[in-house]
Amino acid sequence: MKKITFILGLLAISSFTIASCAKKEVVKPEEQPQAKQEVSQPEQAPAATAQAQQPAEKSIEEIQKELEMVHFDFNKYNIRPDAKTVLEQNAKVLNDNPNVKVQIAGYCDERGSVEYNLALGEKRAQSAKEYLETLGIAPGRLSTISYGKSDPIDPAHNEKAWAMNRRDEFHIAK
Amino acid sequence: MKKWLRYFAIVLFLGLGAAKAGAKVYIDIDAPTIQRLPVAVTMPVAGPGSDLENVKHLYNIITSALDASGYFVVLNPAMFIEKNGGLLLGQFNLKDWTDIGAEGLLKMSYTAQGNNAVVKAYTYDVVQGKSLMSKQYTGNISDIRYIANSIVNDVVYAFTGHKGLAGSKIAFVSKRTGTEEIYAMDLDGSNMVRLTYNKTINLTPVWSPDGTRLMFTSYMHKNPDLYMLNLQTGRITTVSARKGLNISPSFSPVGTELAVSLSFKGSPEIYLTNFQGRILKQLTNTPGINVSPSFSPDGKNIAFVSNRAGGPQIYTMKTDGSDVQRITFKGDYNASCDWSPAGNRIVFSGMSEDGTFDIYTVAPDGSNLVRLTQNQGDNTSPRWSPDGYYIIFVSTRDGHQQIYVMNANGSNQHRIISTDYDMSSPSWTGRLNFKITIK
Repeated sequence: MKKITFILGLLAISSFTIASCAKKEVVKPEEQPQAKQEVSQPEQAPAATAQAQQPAEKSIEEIQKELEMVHFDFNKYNIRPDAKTVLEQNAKVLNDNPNVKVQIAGYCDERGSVEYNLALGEKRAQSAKEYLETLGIAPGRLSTISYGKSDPIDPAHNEKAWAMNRRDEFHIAK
Repeated sequence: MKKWLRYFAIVLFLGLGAAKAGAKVYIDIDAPTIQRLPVAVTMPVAGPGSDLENVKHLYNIITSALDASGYFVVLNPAMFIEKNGGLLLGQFNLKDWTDIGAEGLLKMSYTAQGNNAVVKAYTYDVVQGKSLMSKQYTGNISDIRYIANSIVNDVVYAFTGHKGLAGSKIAFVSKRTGTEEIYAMDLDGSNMVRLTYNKTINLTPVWSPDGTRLMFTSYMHKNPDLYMLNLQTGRITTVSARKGLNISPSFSPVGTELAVSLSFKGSPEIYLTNFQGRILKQLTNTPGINVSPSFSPDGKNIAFVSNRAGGPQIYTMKTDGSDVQRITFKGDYNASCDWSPAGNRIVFSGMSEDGTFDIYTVAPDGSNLVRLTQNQGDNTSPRWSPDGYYIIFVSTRDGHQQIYVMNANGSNQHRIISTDYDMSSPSWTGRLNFKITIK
């Protein structure tokens, strides 16, 4: 209940301010100065924005559920044929919800070096970003981040877990 | 607030013995294989009013560190013949020691003086009946570990001509609290201290050459950014928070530069920056991956990992980015390179045909590849000790990720400390005997 009151309160103040504030943190500029500025904002802001602009549309949570992850082969960052189908579906979701911005998060399995896997995760996220762009999604709606081998879905040490963990997730940017 | 303190201890030379220390090398630690020297260590003779627990503690720290060095076989006291020998030459029978196979002997006394412990240590070559080192150490009883470490390092020096690393520190990453945070501990696993508390992801700590700072990557501001932790002030400053990756720093051993991997232009590339993260030069420019730069000790070359030929392999280049040479050709996955302090070897972790990872060293020109681990789980994240005589690494040989040390030739592989949580990304500083405290 508290949350809802808070969101309504923010809406009453100004939805425009919130939207521009949210934008700042979601998409990093191409050439960012070295010292990062921390933009503090309430976590609920993006949800409030979406509700304000599209009251009849799906909730952020519903859209998030429609964005499926894609998987990769070991030590590879090319988009597999099965992943293309998923990305086409994700592109459709993004086209249907033009105000949604997505951060693509690349992950790896536990094998190999921490540093190389961070780079591999970054390349995996960039591969999906590029493919979504070829499908017509505006580059400004997509950002990337790599988590390397951190945060596996399945912490087991076997092929099944590794295949599951080599992935891109599509997080609606908050 | 983290702060470091130096332990206080006064060391006195007793007699002339110490002046000759290191004159003869008993253990050649530069040789391809190290012959462990049999050494006997007697329980320190306790003066009146001494807490016997402290005496035992001192003895235990010293004997386990001498063993862990890989340079000594510490003889079992059950073999000892001597019953009531004195501390000084002439006060004990050399034959009591040579008869049980000892070549070296460490005798000590321990006296409590108020809050202080006074330890006298005497090191002998019992074969030649020669004193190698005699010193008196005074320090606070609560810092008895410091005295023990100092004695170990002096004993190592007496027999090898090189000072030991007892009391040096290892930084590492652990998920013991649920999130990946940075910790530090002594080489023997003691004095463990947590250094980050941001509850996000903190990775790959790297010591500055003087051991006063730690650089690491953290997601504390929702992106893998590079930070510097000053251990003297406890302050964390941002080094690079550009878009994308800000990872894998290497300190130039001779200058004020860093080599780092940044991906703000798209692909992860290696850059030279100053300590504040200002870019001085871009060193690589390929469409793929370039990470893990490691300076040669003269600062003139950098080893790094690139996938420009398909999978990750080790390359070298000059510090201006020119003259790129591939130096690994065996296997499809070689990464985590670290250039040795002596400059003559590069250590890395490579994937074997069965899919497990092992530690290898190779000459900087790609010749003389040597495999150091085999059939012992996954072995990754190798780093040289500051003196270049050891390699620290992560192994899953005992079930989960733990930190191990081995001599540079692969001998004497042992776990530093056994924990029930994963430990990874070790980094070793040569700064000795400092205490990190948290306010």
